Formats: sequence, structure tokens, C-alpha cells
Amino acid sequence: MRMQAMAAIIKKDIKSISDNIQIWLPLIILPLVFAIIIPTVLIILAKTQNISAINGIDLILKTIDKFPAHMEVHTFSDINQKVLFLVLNFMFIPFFLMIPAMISSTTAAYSFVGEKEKKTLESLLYTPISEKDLFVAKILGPFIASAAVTIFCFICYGIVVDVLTYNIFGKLILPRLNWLIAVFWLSPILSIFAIFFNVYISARVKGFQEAYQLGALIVLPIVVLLYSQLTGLLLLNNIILFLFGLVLLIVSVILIVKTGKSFTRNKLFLSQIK
Amino acid sequence: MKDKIIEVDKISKYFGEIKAVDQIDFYVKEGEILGFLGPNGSGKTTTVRLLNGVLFPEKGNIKVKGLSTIKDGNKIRKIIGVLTESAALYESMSARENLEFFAHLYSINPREIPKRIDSLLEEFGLSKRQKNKVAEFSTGMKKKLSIARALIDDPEILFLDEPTTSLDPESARDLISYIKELNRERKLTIFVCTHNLAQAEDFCKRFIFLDKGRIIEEGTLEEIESKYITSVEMEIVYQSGIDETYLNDYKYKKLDSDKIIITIDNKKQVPQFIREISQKADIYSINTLNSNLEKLYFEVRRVYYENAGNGSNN
Repeated sequence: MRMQAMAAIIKKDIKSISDNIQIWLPLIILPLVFAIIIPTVLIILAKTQNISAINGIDLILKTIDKFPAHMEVHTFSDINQKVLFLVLNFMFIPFFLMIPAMISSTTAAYSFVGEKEKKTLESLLYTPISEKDLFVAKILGPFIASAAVTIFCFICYGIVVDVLTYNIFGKLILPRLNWLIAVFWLSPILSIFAIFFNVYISARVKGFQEAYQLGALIVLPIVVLLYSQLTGLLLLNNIILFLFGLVLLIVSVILIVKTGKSFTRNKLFLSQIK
Repeated sequence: MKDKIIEVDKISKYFGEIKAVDQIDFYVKEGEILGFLGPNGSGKTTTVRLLNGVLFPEKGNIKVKGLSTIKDGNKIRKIIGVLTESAALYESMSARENLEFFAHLYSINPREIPKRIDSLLEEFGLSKRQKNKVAEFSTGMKKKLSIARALIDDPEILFLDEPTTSLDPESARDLISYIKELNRERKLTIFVCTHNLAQAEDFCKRFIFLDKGRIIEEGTLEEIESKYITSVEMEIVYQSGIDETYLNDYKYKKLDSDKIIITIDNKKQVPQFIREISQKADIYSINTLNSNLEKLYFEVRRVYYENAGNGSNN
């Protein structure tokens, strides 16, 4: 591996995203809405309003009742405490997982299809960089961007939640193990999955727009998670989070092998000149 | 052979039904400037891509410095610089950033990079605009920057695909003299694809004529000329009042009262003719019309189509 060449590609890719406000602005705004604005609003509501008066809250309360008796949520007597604890600790996870999925999906589409669209892929292929180095470097750029934003958002979320809820619960409710699994196990795997899903798509589409739209399919598994959460079908406990990550990892490995095989100079070049 | 830096052995490349390159054989000698000539779609650019190993041939072998383009592509690309019309620069990056980026891709020692870039920017007159984004550059400036990029790692072989299109005459002339200098002083081997026959004649030592993916002729100007041109056409400008009965021994056409075009069937008769005519009249100039590359190019193609019975193309 030639680290110098790979580092140059990663640096260039990250810079080209950070230089392009149309790309990075939505990538920053949505995560900040998820990590700061929505939890802040929710917590303020929980502090000032009587949650039990809200329409449909019965559903959530029934869900809580179904939880195993040993769970921490049962230690709170107040309904507001119970609901807030559940929402902040469990229901936010699927929303939060949208961050790595969305960022790696968009940046990967931009990084691969962008080169093709701007006809710079041909220039890259004329240089002595190996296909493997190019492949790894191209994936590391979106991965680093996604990991950085996800961890940053998690820290913001943790601070907002802990600061605003300390006087409600009398203790810090984050970080907890389920969140650590979500951020450091599931998020990176989801990023890798999203990146390879996009690489796979990129080789088959003409433009960035098309890749971007197909890439949005990546949120589907997350929507499934979210739905199962809200209906109480599935509780995102540690084991389920871990298993969900494992399944995605296996699918990713299959995608990596598949995309890696078609990542030859000859094929890349043909895709550029078509 | 040792002095053959590129050896091409019966390669073919198809795109579906189209035979872009059809069983061609040729070589490039170390240190020469080879002109690869042919109309649009004759397979010039495809050949460049095959020689760089970014496309693989369906049949045949290519050796560059004894290395196979399929197995040792990256070793080959390390010693090659390429300029093609379709390989773009990064528009959102400055001229300098572009060169830096590619210098890293060639794994040039980071300490050497600034010096190397300075000298290339200086050479191509881009020093003052080095911090501007490439998107702001004119087509000609982009071309110059692309050539600087091709030279970034001090290559042993340089591929130039239409190097002077979109350059103004002055820049084209400067570029050609710079390329000649690189060839002369550093023994750089240069492979040029071009439509511009006058320029090709000026700086290429040997030519390969391509048509529909096949080589139809190759050799130096003299070699090809001796095959195709037996008669010599000359334009003679003289002081009016030449004895026309003398000219009746030759085929001639009067253009003006003081200008004729004369055809001499055998090249060997030319010195004798010039001696004679200079005694008959005051001669201002004699120009040979049919021994330039352009005339030769069309003649080669005409003969090829006549013999091959391929139907007329030009």
C-alpha cells in the first residue's frame, strides 16, 4: 500500500465535500436537528407539560408495562420520567442511526460518481495507484466523515440530554451501554454498508443525482427499526442492537466482495468512457 | 530488441461490434518522437489507453520496457506521462493543488514536490495563476496544466493526444519547441496523436498512419515519400518572359504571368531541371508542393482505399 497516495485521495475527497456547501450543509443540519433541537424540545415539553394529557400516550405507557420487570424504566414513578427515559434512551436510537447512514451514503455517492461525472476518474486511472489502494482510500474518506459527524453528534446529544435532564432524574442517564453499541458498533457498520451499497449502485448509474436517490434506500432498514420500536414490537436492547449490527456486517462483507471484484482498472475505465 | 521501448504484437480491441483497434503491430524506439496519425475514430486514443494498461486488449500483447501492460500496469504507469483530451483536472482545486495531488499519486518524495511544481508552473507560464481554481482557467491554460501534470514525475515516455488543439499559435509553437527540447536533452520518448499534419511534420521523426483501427502505412517522411511520390510538383516564381517552348517538354500549368506549376516524373531529374531553368530565366523561388506530410497523408489514404477496394473515404 502506498500511504502517500491514499492520504492524498482521502484529503482531497474530504476537502471537496467541505468546499461544497450544497453537500455539507444538509449533512450538518439534519444531524444537529436530531442531536440537539429535537431532544431539547422534548425535554422542555416533558418538564413543563403533563405528558399523560397527550393524545396517544397510552400506547407508549402500555409498551412500558410490557417491559421486563428488571428494567431501569420501572424505577421511575412519575409518568413524565418514564416516558422521557424511554424516548431519550431507546426511541432516539433509530433516528440517530440515520446520521451515519445518510452521511456515508451521500459522501460515497459524491466521491465515486463525482469522479466519473467530472471525468477525473480517467486521470486517476492513468496514475500508478493500485486498484486496491484507490478502493480503500475512496471508502475511507466517506467513512471518516461519517464517523466524525456521528461521534460529534453523540457527544452533543449526550451533553444536551444530561444537562437538561439532571434535575428530572437526579443522575446522568447517558452514556449507556446501548448507546455505546449504537455509536461504536452499529454506526460504523451501517456506514460501511451504506458506502458499499453506494459503490455498488455507482458502478451502475450515470450521474450523482441518480446514485443519490437510489442511495436513499439505505434508510429502509432503519425505518423498519423505528416502526418496530414505536409499536413495541421490538425493544432495542443490547443483544438486538448487536445482532442487527452483525447481520448488516455480513451483508456488507458480501457487498465488499462483490464490488471489489468489479473494481478493476479495465472495468472502471469502461464505466468512465461509456 | 533493446532500443524498442514499446513493442505491440497484434493487438485488437473491440467495443461491441466496433473494431476500435484491429490486429495492429508496431514498435516505438527509445528516444524517438512518433506521430500517430489518422482521422477521428481511427483508434488513436484507444491505442494510447491500451498502451497505458487502462484498457486491456482482447487479443495480442503489449510490452513497455519489457513489462506487460496487463500484469505490470502500475510499474509502467510510473514511468509514463499521459495527456488525453478526456482526462480532466479537478476544477474546484487550484492549479498548484492539482499538481500536488497528482505528485502524491506518483509517490514523489514530498520534499521534492514544491520544487518540481514551481519549475513546471514556470515552464508553462502558470506561476502567477497557480492559486486560482482550474474552473476559472481558459481551455488553453487547462491544456498547459494537463501537460505539466503529465510531466510531474519526470516520465520516460510521454503520450500526447492532440497536444496543440485549443492552444493559440504562440502557445502551440512554444509547446512544440519545449517537447523537442525534452526529447533532445533528456532522450524522452514521445508518442503523439494528432490531426495537425503541419505540426506533426515539424516535430515527429517517424509516422504511423491509422485507419479504422488498422495501420495503413509507417516510416519516416523520406521512407513513405519514396514509396508514394515518384513525380515531383514544383511551383516556380520567375521574372516574366520565360521561353515556353522549353517548358513543353514537361507537364506544366501556368498560374500567372510569372508563376507556373510544373510536374517532373522522376525525382532524379530535378537537379538537372533546376540547373537548366535557372539559365533560361531569373528565378525568384522554387517550392516543392507534394512532398509534405499533408499531401503524403492523403496520397497514402487514396492508394490504400484504391488497393483495398474499401470504397472511397476521403
